[in-house]
Amino acid sequence: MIAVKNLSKSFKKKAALNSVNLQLDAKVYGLLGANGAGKTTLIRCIAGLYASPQGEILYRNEPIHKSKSFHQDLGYLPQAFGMFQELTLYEMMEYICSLKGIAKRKCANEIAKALTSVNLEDRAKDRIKTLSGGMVRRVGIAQAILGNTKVMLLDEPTAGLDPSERARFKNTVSELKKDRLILISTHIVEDVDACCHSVIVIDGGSVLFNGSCEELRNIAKNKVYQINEKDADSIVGEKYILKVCEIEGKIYHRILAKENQDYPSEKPSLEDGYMCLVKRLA
Amino acid sequence: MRRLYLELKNQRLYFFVPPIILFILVPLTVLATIKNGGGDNFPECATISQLFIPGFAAWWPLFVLKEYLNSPGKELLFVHKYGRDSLVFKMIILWAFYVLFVVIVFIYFIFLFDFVWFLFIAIIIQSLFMVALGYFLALLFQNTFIPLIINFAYSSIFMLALFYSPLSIFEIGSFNSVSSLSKSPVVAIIAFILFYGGYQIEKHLYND
Repeated sequence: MIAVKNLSKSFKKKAALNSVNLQLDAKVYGLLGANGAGKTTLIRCIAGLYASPQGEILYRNEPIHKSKSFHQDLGYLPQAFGMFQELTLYEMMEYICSLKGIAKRKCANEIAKALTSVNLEDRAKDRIKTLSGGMVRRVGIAQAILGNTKVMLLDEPTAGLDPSERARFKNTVSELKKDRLILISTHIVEDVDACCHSVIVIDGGSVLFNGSCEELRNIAKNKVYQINEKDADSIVGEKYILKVCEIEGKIYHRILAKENQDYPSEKPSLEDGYMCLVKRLA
Repeated sequence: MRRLYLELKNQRLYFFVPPIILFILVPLTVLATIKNGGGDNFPECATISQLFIPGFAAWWPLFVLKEYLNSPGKELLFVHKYGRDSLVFKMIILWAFYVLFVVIVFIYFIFLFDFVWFLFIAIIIQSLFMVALGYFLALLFQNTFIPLIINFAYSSIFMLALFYSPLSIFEIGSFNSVSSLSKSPVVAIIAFILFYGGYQIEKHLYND
């Protein structure tokens, strides 16, 4: 669906993306990376917001800046979303319909469908400024799906959401994922684990990993150990403490170790696999 | 046009500031000047009109630009390239819309003064300049507050203190002949230059 070929982007002399190559199909992708890793730059490049990146981005084998169908099929949720604060939710959606070139006679139906899918149909007459932060994020998702979009680029959609809003977001993505390419940029690993088929890990502007969640977990296979605090110094080689927890009054360290240890290894989580990659312990 | 309507609607109470200035403040101030002067004080009324009317011409355009330059999520307005409007086109539409309001004020002036049409022409050209200046500065500074302040400061300083400065766009005189519009052609040309400069920044903004 979308092919990213040797994509590089610099701001002044600072490289934000270095030769990124990706093939994205109709699946849900999680774009994982630390703050400043290049997630937003990559999403903005794919959305066509930068006209001068090096390399190519193709949508159905056509460069995105020449492809009319790409702009019709695109739904984009920026990292910060909250424009037209004084309009009602319905008016804001009407504005986006017009921007996307959706025929006026189809607008009412499209808006109703989009608002229903994010459970905001009863707030259509409320002004944007009266909605909570979580609701505004849902409005952002609703505007992104207007017009039966085929490609959805969601930049940090769960940032600032409380746990129940995040759960609702994951359910929304599950309902929307059929026949769509959804790229979700986040630094919250559990969001990716819950709703993505594939994971792309980006660090320092380069793609470190592109594969399934299972494959990312397997990177940390036989590298995760949960050991008593007292034994922590006995770990051989390079290590990284993932977390410190207390179990039945004893302090345990969950450790990522590059080499095999004399302790039984733990079943790795997606976060273990991700940390293994970014800490170069793979 | 539907999008422009929604952008104006998004201004809520701020939308009503120019109509209040044009339909309440200007007529009342002109009326008060006539009453105090005890006769035809057209030059003073022309000064009042030039102080208030062009100064508020950039109000709606700058509030429309605010969403494009300052709002969270503004990049969404740039993503859908095929549906988006040209900002310079919106600025000109909003100037034309403002001129319609100014026409209503001048219909009122017809009943008070003999020669108003030269003043009308001077004022709509000055308004065009103010819109162009606001548009250019907003895109240059990526901010709408600075141009708003500059516009008001310019109107106040050159209309109240520096009448005869060559940097002033305002006309002084009786406005009873074409010669009263000595600065207007130059002001119109500068306005188009500012629109052109702003448009170049706009193209850059949309494309990178």
